[in-house]
Amino acid sequence: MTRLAFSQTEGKTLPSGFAQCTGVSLKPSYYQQILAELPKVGFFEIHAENYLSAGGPARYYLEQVRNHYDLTVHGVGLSLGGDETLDLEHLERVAKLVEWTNPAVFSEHLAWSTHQQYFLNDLLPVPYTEARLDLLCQHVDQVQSRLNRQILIENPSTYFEFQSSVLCETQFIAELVQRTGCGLLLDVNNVEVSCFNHQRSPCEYLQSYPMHAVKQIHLAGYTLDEQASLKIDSHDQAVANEVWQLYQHTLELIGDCPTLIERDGNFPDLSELLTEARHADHLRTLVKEQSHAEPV
Amino acid sequence: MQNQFNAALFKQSDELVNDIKGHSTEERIQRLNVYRNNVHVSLQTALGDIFPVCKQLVGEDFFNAMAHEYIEQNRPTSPILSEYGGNFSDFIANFPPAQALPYLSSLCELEYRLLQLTNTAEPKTLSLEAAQQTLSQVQHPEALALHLNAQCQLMHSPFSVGALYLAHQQPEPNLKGLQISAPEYLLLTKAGLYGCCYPLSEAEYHFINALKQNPNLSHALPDDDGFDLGQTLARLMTWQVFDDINES
Repeated sequence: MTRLAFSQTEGKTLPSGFAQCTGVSLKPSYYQQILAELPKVGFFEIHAENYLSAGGPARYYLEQVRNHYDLTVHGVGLSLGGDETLDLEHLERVAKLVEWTNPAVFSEHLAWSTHQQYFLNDLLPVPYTEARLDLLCQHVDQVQSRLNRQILIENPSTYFEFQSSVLCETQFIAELVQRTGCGLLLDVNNVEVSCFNHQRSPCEYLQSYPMHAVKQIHLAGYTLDEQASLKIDSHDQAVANEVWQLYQHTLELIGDCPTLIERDGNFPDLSELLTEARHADHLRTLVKEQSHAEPV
Repeated sequence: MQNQFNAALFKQSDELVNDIKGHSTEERIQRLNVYRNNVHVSLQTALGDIFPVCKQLVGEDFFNAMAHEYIEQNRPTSPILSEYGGNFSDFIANFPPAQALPYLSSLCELEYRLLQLTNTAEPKTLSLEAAQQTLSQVQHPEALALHLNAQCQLMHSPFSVGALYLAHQQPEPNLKGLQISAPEYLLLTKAGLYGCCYPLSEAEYHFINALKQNPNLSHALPDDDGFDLGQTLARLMTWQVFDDINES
């Protein structure tokens, strides 16, 4: 029942800001500049867990920003890939935030972050097994039912693969989509990072990815570890050239798609993020023009 | 899987390493270390954001070393990280390398309580003008009830941590004349969107403490010749800590 209900959200009209122009992460250091200058941005994305307080500046400024822009809400704490039952108290708080902000999309991760009563504050990987898929599907169904909307699941950045995995990542994600009716948030930087770390071809990864379910794209920067042998999904650098190229390739595969410039650390002047957003818009325009020019 | 992973993150067991793909044990551990590092560094960063004055005072290296020890023993119990660190001040009080700075624990208690106040809902308060108007119309002062808002808290520290904290709200902290070993009485409340603290006299502290128990003014007046009711009320009204003033 849940799957059918959420697959019906296909084709639902998206808010125009979200659909048309690239968004950027909303961070406290940008609040006042955003409200003073109202820059041309499609939407702002928040991390749900940073906006669950009853008051204070986060909630105050979010309300102001919401008056001018579309929002997307990105959860980082539901631990959908975990062994344990979901933290219902936390789900309830997230649900209240989603009801209050009415975001264009709500997204979460193919990862786990809670063990017993402890929150580990990282997006930890899961083995791609049938048993894990069953658990993840249950959790995604549960969240979609409580939020009463389709949610998007983001592909992870991973630094190792499990021996015990029996499915490849794209198969696992495709099964998840088919069983739950969830949509996908395709993080292109994560594709670059994971494929580099596991010596795979990012283009082949995208070729086998269930692109029909992608409703949003994330772009971010990475760093290299000390030995320069692993790429780390740090979100504290500008989007790298190879990620821009992979993004362009993704757009060529799926056509235009709502996109976010994601930044979580080493914050530059807001203008730098806006420049990256404009570059994404430029690439999106090119792909739209291309699709119009193609003979029917 | 999670038990193994959690044990590997905190170096209690390496069982997970067998389930990691890699050409060598060294490579597998290098890959696992990314997650170990992510967990510790992200939580150290979170603690640094929650206790910025403490971090500024002890320096980044000492703070991160202290945070590392704390994280090993006290992982967050909520995905809302601004709530993390509730017992950081207790930890510091018993952390031998921090004993040279005996006020640090109390400072961290203050920083934590102010952040939690910041994140509470903005309280209903009487504006200065409304409070003044109500007081000017009082006919039976002995029946006056002064209701403090729920966010109004008290803190007594054996150290001048309020002055230390306030000095560090300036771009260039001026610590000249600050006597850190002097005991301090503080009112913690919310001003606008943020938690804030105000220094009190000992008599004011006891007066406010009594008002919190019983809002009736006549019951709360301290037996202290130095207590100036008019001055104290003026300060409290300016700080907008009352949600109601009436004649009960």
